[in-house]
Amino acid sequence: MNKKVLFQANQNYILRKIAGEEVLVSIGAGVADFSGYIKMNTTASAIWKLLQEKVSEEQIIEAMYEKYDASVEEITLDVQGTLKALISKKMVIVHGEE
Amino acid sequence: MVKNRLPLKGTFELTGRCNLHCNMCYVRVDEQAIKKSGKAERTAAEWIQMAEQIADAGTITLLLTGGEVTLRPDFCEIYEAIAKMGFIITVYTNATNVTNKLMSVFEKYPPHVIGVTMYGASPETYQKICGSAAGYDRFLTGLSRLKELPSILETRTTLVKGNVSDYQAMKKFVENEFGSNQILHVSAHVYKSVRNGICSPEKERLDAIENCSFFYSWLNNLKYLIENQNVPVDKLINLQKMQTTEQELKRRSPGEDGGYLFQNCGAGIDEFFISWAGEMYACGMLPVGCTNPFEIGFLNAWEDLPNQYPKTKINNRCKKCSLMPFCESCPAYRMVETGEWDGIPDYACEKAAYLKNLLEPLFLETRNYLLREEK
Repeated sequence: MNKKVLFQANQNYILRKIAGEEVLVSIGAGVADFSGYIKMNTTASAIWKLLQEKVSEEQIIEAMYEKYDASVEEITLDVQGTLKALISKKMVIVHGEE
Repeated sequence: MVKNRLPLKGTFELTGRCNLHCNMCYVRVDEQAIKKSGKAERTAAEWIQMAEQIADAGTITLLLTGGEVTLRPDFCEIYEAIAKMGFIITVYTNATNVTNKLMSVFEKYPPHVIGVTMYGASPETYQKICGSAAGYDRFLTGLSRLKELPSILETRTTLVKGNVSDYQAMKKFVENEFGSNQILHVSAHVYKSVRNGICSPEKERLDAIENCSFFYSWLNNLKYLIENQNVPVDKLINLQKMQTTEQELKRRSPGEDGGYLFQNCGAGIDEFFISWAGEMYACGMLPVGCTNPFEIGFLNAWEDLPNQYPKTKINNRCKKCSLMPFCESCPAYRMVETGEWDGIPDYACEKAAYLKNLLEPLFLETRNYLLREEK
């Protein structure tokens, strides 16, 4: 992915803690795209929290590398996979070069 | 102490007032009844604060209901604040009061589900059931506006003596409005009034036999075919039907003596109901047994809720009753109908007798068929 592109969480999704698990719930205009909630694993939750501000893929990878004991390659794959999934569901907004 | 309780599913009954005066409503109150009760509706600020508390406690689904919620002049304020908190929200409404202001807030924050209740298929039926012929056209107008929203829209009705003849027309209406995949959600569960309600629903509900005949017509058809041997049992009764039949037989087992009162549902285990007066009950059918979340905080009220109910004590007559497997009584139903947690509701007895006559031979035939197949 283009490193200069920035990503940000769609504010029409709220992270909630339900019965010990983190879930993403659609609100507002998000209901039109996805009516319900999805479970977030630990990686996805951590990435989601970073996406509350506009961040690049590189910044996310760097933050996750500091937090988790895993190789850069593993983290990069996780971050890219999570971003791809969230973007496909319109839960993450892609901003052009800044 | 009841273990493993989580308040996952909540209901806020924002008001007991309604602009329609349906004769089968078990919750409707008017200003006089509210005054007589000595209670008061909670304010918008209180409901919003309560929503914050239940969000912290881990509630995921929230039903906003009444009465008619849109009657509250502050409903839009309450709704918009709650809608931002991340619940899966369902709103129940009769759709007769869909204003521009309401649509504006629903367009900004669509409910995940809107349950619209219709009471008949004509102004005449609306007059008979709700006391308002004009209500029918207002329902049509409101529904057409709500249809524009991305919310899942469910059309619901409760069948009683006054509108059962409209059933086919209502079904057709839903098909025409939403397509043949949409169904009319029908309830025939009509209870006596609770919590200061002013109606007498028990006078309006279908007779027990008529109720069963209507809702179990598919079972009647099967029984007829089996008895008349027009079609072999093994062609009629597939596994799905067998499972349905077994579920019908097990649905209201009495539970264990001495255990938590509500053993066969989520009442007070994973769900709660907060009434218009701010009292928390294990389920919305209950007339008694509550805590006060607005006074002591949601979590304290939730923790204390099971203590409001006695342990299960099964009526001796019911223990020996051959109709027990077919009986749909639960402790809440017994309390509403008889005033006793282990009371014996005649209406339920009549239905159980009918269902036993219908289901028992069917179940035995199916069991015999499966045993033959195993050999």
